[in-house]
Formats: sequence, C-alpha cells, structure tokens
Amino acid sequence: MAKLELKGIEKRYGNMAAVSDISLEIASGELVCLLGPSGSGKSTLLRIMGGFEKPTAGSVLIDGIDVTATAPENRPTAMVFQSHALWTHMNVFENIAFGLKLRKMSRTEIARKVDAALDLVGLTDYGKRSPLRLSGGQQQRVAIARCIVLEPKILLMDEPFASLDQHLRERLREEVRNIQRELGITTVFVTHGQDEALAIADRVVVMSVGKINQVGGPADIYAQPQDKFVAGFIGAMNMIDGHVSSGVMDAAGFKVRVPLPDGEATLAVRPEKLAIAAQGGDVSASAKITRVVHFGAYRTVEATTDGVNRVKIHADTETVLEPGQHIFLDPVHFSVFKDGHDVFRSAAVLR
Amino acid sequence: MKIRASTIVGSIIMLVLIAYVVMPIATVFLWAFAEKWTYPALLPTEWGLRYWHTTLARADVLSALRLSLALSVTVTLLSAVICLPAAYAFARMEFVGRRTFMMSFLAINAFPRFGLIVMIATLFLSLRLVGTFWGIVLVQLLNTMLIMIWLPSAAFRGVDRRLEEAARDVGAGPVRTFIRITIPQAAPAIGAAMLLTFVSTFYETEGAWLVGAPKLRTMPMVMLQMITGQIVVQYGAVLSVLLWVPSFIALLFARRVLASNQFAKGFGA
Repeated sequence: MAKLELKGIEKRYGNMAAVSDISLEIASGELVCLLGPSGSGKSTLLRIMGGFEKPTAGSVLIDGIDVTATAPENRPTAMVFQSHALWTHMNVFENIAFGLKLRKMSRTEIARKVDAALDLVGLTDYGKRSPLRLSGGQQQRVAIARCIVLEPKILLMDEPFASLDQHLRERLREEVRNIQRELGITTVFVTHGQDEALAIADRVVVMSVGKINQVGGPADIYAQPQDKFVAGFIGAMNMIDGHVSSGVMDAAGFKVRVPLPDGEATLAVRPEKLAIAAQGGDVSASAKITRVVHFGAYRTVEATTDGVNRVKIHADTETVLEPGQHIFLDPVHFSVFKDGHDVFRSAAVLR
Repeated sequence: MKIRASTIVGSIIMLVLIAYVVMPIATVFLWAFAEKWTYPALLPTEWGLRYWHTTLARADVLSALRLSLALSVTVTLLSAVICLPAAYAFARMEFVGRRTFMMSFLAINAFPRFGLIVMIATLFLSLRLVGTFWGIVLVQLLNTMLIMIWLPSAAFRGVDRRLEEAARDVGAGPVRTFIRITIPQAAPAIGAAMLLTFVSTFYETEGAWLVGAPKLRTMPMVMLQMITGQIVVQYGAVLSVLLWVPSFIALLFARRVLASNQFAKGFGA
C-alpha cells in the first residue's frame, strides 16, 4: 500500500522526447492503466517508475520519498514483464524464491511464502517444474507470483497479457484484478488494448506521443473524451467534419444546433448513439445502407449520408435492414471537436 | 533405378575424403593398441595395452601431464575471470568503435603467432619470466583472448535483457545479476569457450616452448619428442590417442554452440 507520484517527468533520447511533462498521482491501492498506441511513451513511463530508465527531468516519489535516483533493486516496486522474463535455468520454485533468498530469509519461511504465492496464482504443486514446460498463461502467473511474494509497495505490469490469446487474457485479467483487490496493492498496468484498460482499471491514463491526453475513470473516458485522439482511440467513433454557421452545425447531412462561433468543426457520435428512424426529424440525416454485419447480439450497419462520409451504427437484430435501403439517422448523443479539443457535448436526448 | 552421374562423382569424392581423413587417424589408433605389427599384415598381429602401461609409467610423461593440466586449468580460469566481464561489456555497452575493437581481435589473431611470441619471449627474458610457470601462463593467456571474448560476448547478447532487469527488480545488484542470471543463461557458449580454451592451451606448443623450454616441458612437447626421436612408434601413438580425447569432447560440445547463430552474432550481425 503506497502512493506513487510523478512530478514533471521528461525522458529524452537525444533530441527526441519519449515522454514529456508527465505529472500523475496514483493513490494507495489504486489500479491505474496507462493506455496508448505503441510509441506513446507508456512503457517508458512504467520503466521510469521501476527505475530501469532515469528521467531527464522530474521526479518519482513513493510514499513521499524521492526515488528518482534509486536503482531498481532498492525500490519497493516489482515489475511483471511482457515477455514473462522467467529465468529458465531455475525451476518455478527457485524463480519465486530468488528475491526472498536475497533478503536472507530462513529456508522454511521462504518455502512457506513461495507456496502461498503459488496458491494465490493457482499453480499449487508446480514448484518443481521448469518454466519452459509451462504454457504462456502459466508462465505469466509465475511472473506475477515472483513479484507479489516480495510484497512490493507498487506492482508494475508491462503489457503482461499481450502474448496470450484473447480467452486466456480475459481470464488472467480477472484474476489479476482479484489478487490486486485482495492484497490492496497499488498497481500500474500498461496496455495498448482499450477494452483491457476499461475492464480492469480504476482510472485510465490515455497517452499519445509522450504526453497524457486524459486521466479519468473508464466510464468518463468513454463517455466524455476531452480530445479527438481519445475519442478516436477509445471505442468506435464516427468523426464527421463539418462547419458551423449561425449556431447550426452541418456535417454531412446532420444538422445539429450548437452554441459555437462560425467555422470548421468535427461532429463525433458513437455507433450506439445513432438511432435509425424511418421518418426524418430536424436533426436527422438521410442515409443509404452499404453494409450490414451480424455480431450475434447486435449488428453494425455501415451507411453513407452524403455519398462520401461513411458512418457506423449499432442496430438491434430484429429490424429489417438491407444494403441499398434508405434510412434516417438521429444523433442521440454527440460531441463537437474544434482544433482537436472537445468544445461542446450534447446534454441529453435530442428527439 | 537411374543413378545420376553427379551422384557417382559425389560418392567418389566422399570416399577419397574419408580415406584421406580417416586412414591416418585409424592407423594411429591401431598402433596405440598394437604390440606387434609387421609389414604384410593388414591388422596388428598382437594386440595389447602394454605400451599404455609403459608410456604412462615414464617420469617425463607424468611430469609433463601434470604441468600441462596445471597450465591449462590456470590459463582457462584466469582467462574466464578476465575475459567474461570484458565480453559482457562488449555485448551490452554501446561505445564508440565497439565493432572496430571486436574486429581488431581478429586482426591480432591473424598476425603470425610465432613472430609475436618471439617478441614476447625476448621481453620475458628481461623480466626473468622465461622458464617459469607464470611466464607460460601469461603467453598462453594471450592466445585465449579471442575465443573467450568473442564467443561469450555473442552469447551474452543473446540473453534477454528483461531477464537481467527482472533480477534487478527483485533486489539483486548488478554483480549478483551477472553471476546468478547472465552467466547461467549463457552457460552453453561459455562452457564451449572454456573447453576450447582448455584444449587449445593443452596443445599449445610455440609459446610453451619458447618461454618454458628447456626447463619446463608440456605434454605436446614430450609427444613431439617421442614421435620424432624414437624408433618405437607406439609411444607416440598412445600419447596421440590420449591427447585426442579432450579435444574430441570439446569439439562435440562446441559443435552445438557453433552451429547455432550465436557465433555469427559475435561478428556484430
């Protein structure tokens, strides 16, 4: 249980800034996801927290103590690597016991702790196995056990499930969440998968090009993206360029009332916030269906409003919808972005 | 079934090669276990281990064997202590001219060895190192540098950095990480390099002769003397077979490592 603070972190490689101007406070027991595409600096930031990279500027504080210059072996942090990084010349027990042995614990104490850690990750009796004889999921569990057995103040996870298949990833994600809750351990989790971040995190930190775009709870990040990048990166979003004149925005057939000055702007509507109607209303755009894809529980409909702009709509499975058919689309909830930033958000249902 | 001309030609070349490579070795082997072998007989007429007993009972052979083993072990261990950290530095640290430096090792190895050793022997003479155990160790150590830096360096490069970071993460310092994680991970290549070093030191003659002789005589020097100066062929044959064993084991072991792409990586590939 510990608080982690980053103050004005910057990391440069030559002229290139991998991360810059990062300030972040992570509360005790919180699970925070660093989310961003590759090259966004999220892994660099995690490695700075773990002590594997020295920031060019700024400081890292754990429980108020400055650890910026502290080597990884002297930090109360533990890292789970994407590649698992198990030592193949040791068996599972020895892998987990390595850190404890360095702490000069008695043999019985070590055995007790390792067994408890193996129980926690569901690998009881796997101690004598070689890591090479474990599946990818089991290897990652060992890596997690190796970290938590040391009772670190902060647990760092660098895309821990990236090499696993979807099904296993979801299961391990749940398990990690449960273990994290049970131990109350402050955790920072790096991922490029937005579904993973939304599913697991207390708070999500969205990053791009070495900077933080937005910090917030999963629901906030999804419903109220503050800039165009977050809006496009988290979930699916229809982005339609248009322009505002005298308080009405025209974007490829959609006409919505917005209290904005005249000029260019972008209308952003989620696929599930577009309603399909047989009759047109004030704000409706008429559209022609180009494709319908079934996903079992729902369908996605692709349509063009003005023959050029494509939009995606989530639809139920009952209504008759076929390619070529003319429909009307109502934006139930939308945002407007100007110069990449969120400038207007529709308050409620418009119809 | 039609047999192609290329197959026949290939087979003939192979037979010639086998005869050329295997025959001399087979002859030496046969001589080592022959007590009598007179001209018309295709195989020895009397087999036995008599010459093994007499060869191994000779005082000069025993003392040479003892000296050679002591030299090889000392040189190999010293070389490991000096070269392994250097190899690690080459593998992990980026510094200007790293590649050039690695290539310069090759260049030194290509330099006529004998001339180099004569120079060193002259230097050792004034340092009163000629005719001493440590004098031979020093001159032989030079020969081992290439293989003891190059091979392990390639292997160290093959060790995932994350494995080292994970060790640092759980509380091991840099030195402990190197000894407990990096070296075991690179163990096959290091083992092969040490074996090759051991064997090449065991067989090394020029340095040992120029610096050690006539006071100190190693196994190969004794063998050379027995082969050239004796009428009884068996002494030389027995010693050859005896000395062949360690190099054969080393080669078997090294083959696995050399066949992997780790050796190629040593060239900075």
